[in-house]
Amino acid sequence: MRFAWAHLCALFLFVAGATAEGHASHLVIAVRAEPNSIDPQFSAVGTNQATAMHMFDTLFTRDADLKLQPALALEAQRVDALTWRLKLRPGVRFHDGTPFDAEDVIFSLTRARHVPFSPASFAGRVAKIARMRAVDPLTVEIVTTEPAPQLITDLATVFMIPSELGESVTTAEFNDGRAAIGTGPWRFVRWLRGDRLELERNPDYWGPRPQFERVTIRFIVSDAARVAALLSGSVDLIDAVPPADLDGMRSHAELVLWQIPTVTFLYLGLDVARDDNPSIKTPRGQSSRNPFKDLRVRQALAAAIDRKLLIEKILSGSGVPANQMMPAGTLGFDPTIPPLAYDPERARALLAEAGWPNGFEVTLATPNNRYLNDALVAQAVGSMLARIGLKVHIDAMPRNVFLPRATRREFGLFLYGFGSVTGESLIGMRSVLGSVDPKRGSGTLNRGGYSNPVLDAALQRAAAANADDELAVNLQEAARLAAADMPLIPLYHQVATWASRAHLQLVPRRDERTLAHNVTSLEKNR
Amino acid sequence: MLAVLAAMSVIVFLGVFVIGDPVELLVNPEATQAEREAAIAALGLDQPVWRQYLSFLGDALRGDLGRSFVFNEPALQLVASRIPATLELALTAMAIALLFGIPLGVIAGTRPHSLIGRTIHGGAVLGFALPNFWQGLLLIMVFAVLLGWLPSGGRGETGTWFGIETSFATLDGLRHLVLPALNLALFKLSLIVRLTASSMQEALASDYIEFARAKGLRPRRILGVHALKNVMVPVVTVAGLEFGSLIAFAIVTETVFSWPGMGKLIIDSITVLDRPVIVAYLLLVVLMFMVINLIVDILYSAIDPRVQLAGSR
Repeated sequence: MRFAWAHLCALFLFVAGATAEGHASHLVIAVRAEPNSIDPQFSAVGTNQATAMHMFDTLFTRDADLKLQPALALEAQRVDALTWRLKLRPGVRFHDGTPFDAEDVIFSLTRARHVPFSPASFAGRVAKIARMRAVDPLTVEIVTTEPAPQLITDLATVFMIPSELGESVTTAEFNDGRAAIGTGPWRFVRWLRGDRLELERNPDYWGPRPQFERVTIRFIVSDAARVAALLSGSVDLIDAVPPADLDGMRSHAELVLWQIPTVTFLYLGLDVARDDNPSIKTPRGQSSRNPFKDLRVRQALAAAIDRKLLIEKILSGSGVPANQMMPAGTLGFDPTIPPLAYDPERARALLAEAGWPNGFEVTLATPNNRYLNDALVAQAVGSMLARIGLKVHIDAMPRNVFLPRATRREFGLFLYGFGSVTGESLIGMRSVLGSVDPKRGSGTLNRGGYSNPVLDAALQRAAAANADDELAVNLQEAARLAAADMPLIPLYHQVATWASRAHLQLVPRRDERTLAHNVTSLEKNR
Repeated sequence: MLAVLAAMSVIVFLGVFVIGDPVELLVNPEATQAEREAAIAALGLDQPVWRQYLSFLGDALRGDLGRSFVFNEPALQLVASRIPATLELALTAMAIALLFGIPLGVIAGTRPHSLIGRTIHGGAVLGFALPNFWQGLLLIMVFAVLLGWLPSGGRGETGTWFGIETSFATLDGLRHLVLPALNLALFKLSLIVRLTASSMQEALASDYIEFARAKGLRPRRILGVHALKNVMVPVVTVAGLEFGSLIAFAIVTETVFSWPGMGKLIIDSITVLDRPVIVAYLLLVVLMFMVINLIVDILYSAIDPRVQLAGSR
């Protein structure tokens, strides 16, 4: 009892006299999403990769603009159609002091294939590897089962771990830190599930050394709580600033915002395959033929949306109008595609020409917890479509309900997005617009049933391309085909926003990942 | 008891199945069809739902509630690892609610028409009426953002007592505990104030109190022993049940204060349809409610001699 009293008294003293403690070289970041493992090979989803990038390195990496850069490998030579030779960076050591060499590469790429119970496995990234050989400690030869021009892109996602861990190493051993040994800029200290991840600087890092000695990454899902944590000074930097708070933060003298247009592409998906769709009705409420099979109707929808207004009013500016899947400055973007003009007159004319002078009735399905203000965006889009004579019902639902239904193709019209985090459009184009063909791995996210052999052919040529310019030419052709046929209606690319204390500087990334080593302080002695 | 647990597991199993396929939420959007199918098979979701349920049941009888789809760790262990955080939050909140609620309720009940009595009543109404999450945000805005006295969320440093990680052991942990515990306590505090006050009013008007007064007992003793003892019966019942709901449904508070307890885990699990964790959590909660009910029944008979447990008759 006396013990409890002592604590209680101390508590009140603390409450009365609490001051911000000054850890000069300690950075505290709050992010929205928490990884489900520290094992860098457990899950290929973005949150896990962003976390892994602190402690682990890949052979090649993507910079803030998503351009490929050498990391643990200095160069990749293509010896013949099936053989690659990788030169490794000399003098790199793991956090436990063991040197990084060819055996580690072979071990890591082998383990990536069969991490047990992995929900989003890396197996596909290394599937084409037939065998590997250490030519010398710093040279690896990789032979593929078939020509694999995209091998380097695939390898850029697989993290390297020490071969000393052995094949029996488990995901749980990474999670409690025993096996969390990489070559990355930060060392694992501890991970408190649902709360925070603590890291310390790796003084022997082969790249630019992080400025801060320690970093704590806190996981705060609730938008309001994340913002409050920044305002109260308990954290120095937050990601995913909600649009509603942007103006308030702009005028805050002690805070600064960091923004970058991302590769997250928001679009209206359409059922373009079925002859009728239960979510589409005539103006009198009778079941109807599917209007979205007509190109003119799709063009009418595209012209009915005032993207600028949408971005300004609903997203407080956190968007860039889109006319294709990729934003400017990425591989696959075609600058010759004209912007989508807002022209309701033309939209009404197109509808009438297509045989729908009185419009039709349709349900617009949307997730309400996936993208920035997604349900509000859908409502605004609904009212814009109402202005050209459609009767639109909005059906908003959480992502966990939305996605299975979308994949069962229950929707006639829906709002969703895709993030081309590899900085090129091949994967996105192939999954969202490629014909559904499980054998070739295309159409996995094709939720509108679109199928265009010409587009498929262009994507196949892109996949077989041996050089970046050849890849770009074919991806641009695919982009032009999609723009002409409009199987989905492009809306905008999301802009990501971080907020930090005024003395901090952040290099924002186009894939929205928050990396502690991209944060520097302008104040001295930090 | 087993029947309740079994019925629960069927309902949850079917419920999650109806919502849909967790694989959609787990795989990388860039995944190929083969990768999707591999993930589905790895999680056992390629089986028909009745077979999934039977294999779950078989494992459950051996004490294995399956592995989390998301974390690839035993679901029960995952839920259990969050119990200390939730329990310390709930205990603190309950302590605040009882320590302040009963005295305030007694005051409000004995002097219902005085200024102080009406103030307490008014405060209790406010505590009821304001939504929990809004109270939480308000607490953060005032005590963390404006005054800067307390941290805005998270669990802070924990220490180890008897092998259990707890916030009670460190000052930093206690500082982190104050706001969420207060947030969680406010509603229960209001409830206990109102309950105590109304029971008190009722007790004071009853014959045995009149008799005690007639006997010339001191008012303190009448209030503190005779009246309070009767007031405690409903308070204990309600407090017991409310304690269960504090543990099971601290979800809003845990989310607002990013407190890494069970409530946050269950919300996160529902958003990704992590069925093993949802089932394990709900089974545990049902079990907990049963135990709490048992304890409340036992406490009853201790407080009120008229109540006898069936076996002891």
